[in-house]
Amino acid sequence: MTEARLGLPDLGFGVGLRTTHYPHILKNKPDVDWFEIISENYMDSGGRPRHVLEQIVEQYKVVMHGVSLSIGSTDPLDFDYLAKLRALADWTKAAWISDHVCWTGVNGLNGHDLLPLPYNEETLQHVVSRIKTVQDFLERPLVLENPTTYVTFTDSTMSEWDFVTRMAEESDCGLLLDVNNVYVSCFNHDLDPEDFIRSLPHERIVQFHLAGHTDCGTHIIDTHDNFVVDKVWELYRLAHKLTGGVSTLLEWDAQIPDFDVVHGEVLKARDLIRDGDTALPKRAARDTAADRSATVPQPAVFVAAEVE
Amino acid sequence: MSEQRSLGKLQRWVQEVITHPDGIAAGVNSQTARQQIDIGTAQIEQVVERSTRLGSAERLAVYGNAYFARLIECLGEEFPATRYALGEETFESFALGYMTQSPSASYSLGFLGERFAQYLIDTRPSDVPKPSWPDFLIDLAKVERTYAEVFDGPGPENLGTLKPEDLQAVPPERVSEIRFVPVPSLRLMEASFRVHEYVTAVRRDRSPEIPMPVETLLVITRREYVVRRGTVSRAEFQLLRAIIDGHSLGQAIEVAAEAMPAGSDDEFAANLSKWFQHWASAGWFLRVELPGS
Repeated sequence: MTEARLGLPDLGFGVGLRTTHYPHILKNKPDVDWFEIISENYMDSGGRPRHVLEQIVEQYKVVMHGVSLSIGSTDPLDFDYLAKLRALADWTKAAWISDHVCWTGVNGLNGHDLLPLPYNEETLQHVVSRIKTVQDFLERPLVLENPTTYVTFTDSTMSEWDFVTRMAEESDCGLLLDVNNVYVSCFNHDLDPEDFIRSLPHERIVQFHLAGHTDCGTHIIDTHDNFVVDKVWELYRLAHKLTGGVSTLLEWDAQIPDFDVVHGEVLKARDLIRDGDTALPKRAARDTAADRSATVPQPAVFVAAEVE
Repeated sequence: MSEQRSLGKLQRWVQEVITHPDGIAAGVNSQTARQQIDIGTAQIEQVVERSTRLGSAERLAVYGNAYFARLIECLGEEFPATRYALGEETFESFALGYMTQSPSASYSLGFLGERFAQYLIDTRPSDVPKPSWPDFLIDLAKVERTYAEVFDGPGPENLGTLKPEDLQAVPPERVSEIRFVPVPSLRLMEASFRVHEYVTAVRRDRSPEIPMPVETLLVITRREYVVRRGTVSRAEFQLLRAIIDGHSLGQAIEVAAEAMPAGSDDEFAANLSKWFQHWASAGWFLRVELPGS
């Protein structure tokens, strides 16, 4: 039987590290359980992002979350990228390395998006084989997240949850359950998000993601620019019950508010668990797409230069 | 389900379709997409299922719209002054052309803008005299890209830099033999406009006007993890260039003097001591080395 969370620790309630919060974190040393970093933003850094990360890893536990592994691509694996990933993990003493069940490009290109896969036997064997190769190279388990998707393919022969379950079991990898992504994808594909969450191998779930999104009426876009909605909190409560609780991380990547607001949002998860079945977190009164500049999925984060 | 395609064929088709600059329909109908999956727009449902609320093409368009919107947004963050100078609409048009010609091939968004200035050079109208508006944009893109590379590239912060007393320790008879070792972030750039001031003004929301052309010789580096920039004279610039190219001080002065108008030799002799002091205080060099020492 698989050990819960593959034997990886429950780190508590963390926040995605973003450049806009660097000064606040360094100055105030907030009482955050852990930070998740975007791997690609630090792999080549020789400047301030790396310098800040040095200080973060001295004080906090860190998990690495990537957006360019492209585990489902039919392009060859990029071993230079993997070597940098491993070096960064060694340096940061990352608790684990995660990425997404997706592909980001073919023919040597990267669209910097988390593109969906057709869920069938060919894809499954392809992805499982690559996960095994990556895990051997990294010398640690890979933790893979369900991405938000906006299309499904006629080439699929199984559900996403069946695919993810078999992928995890056959490759012996961990899962990062993005609860918001389940909600968004299920809305977009006319599926029941509770069915999705109930059908996963819960003992393999290492981490949860929470985030806000934008409801466009006909579809939902994973914009990471707002508070978590009530229906996602309800799904989170279900996922917590089924897993027994795992590390929980709040992502906020566009129109990022003050650090305390972001941290406060993930602490609602702690309160939700503590208060049991009845209470849902109070939502702040900020909303609607009207105050947002662009409705664009935000899988990657750009680091802008600081100039005198 | 229709006869299953290979995963590679499907991925190449999706990429062609969602990255087509003229949209999903044009992408589906393009020759490169049809080489992978030979369908027209009326048959997209053979590949992509519809939902109860959206048709197949509309669902694919979520990816198509996001592809350019996201990358244009990132490019705009790297080139805020170029974007300001061009205006949003024109910047987007240039960015679209650039990304269509040079799509990202890197795992990192940090490399997204590395060929943008070259794209502007390649597409510069040939019948416009220099220096003028297109050259201003090219200079802007060059300096903003340089800032990005200097900001997150290797820097001097943990290395220690040259002190004035290091120079005083060199025996006078051997000064011409010394080689200055530049900090890894040190860059030189020639521009036809004072683009560094324009960039700073945009970053401080000062709504700058387009400046008049004037020779601008920039030294760009990083100190305490923030990009620093300043201007130098032509003589100092030529000397710095020769030093960075690896010449000893004596050789560098000769090389620099050759690049200057006749009779400029005195400028070097008169200013050398002042320049050394400035280079040391600005942290442009790690140390000086003497052969055999």
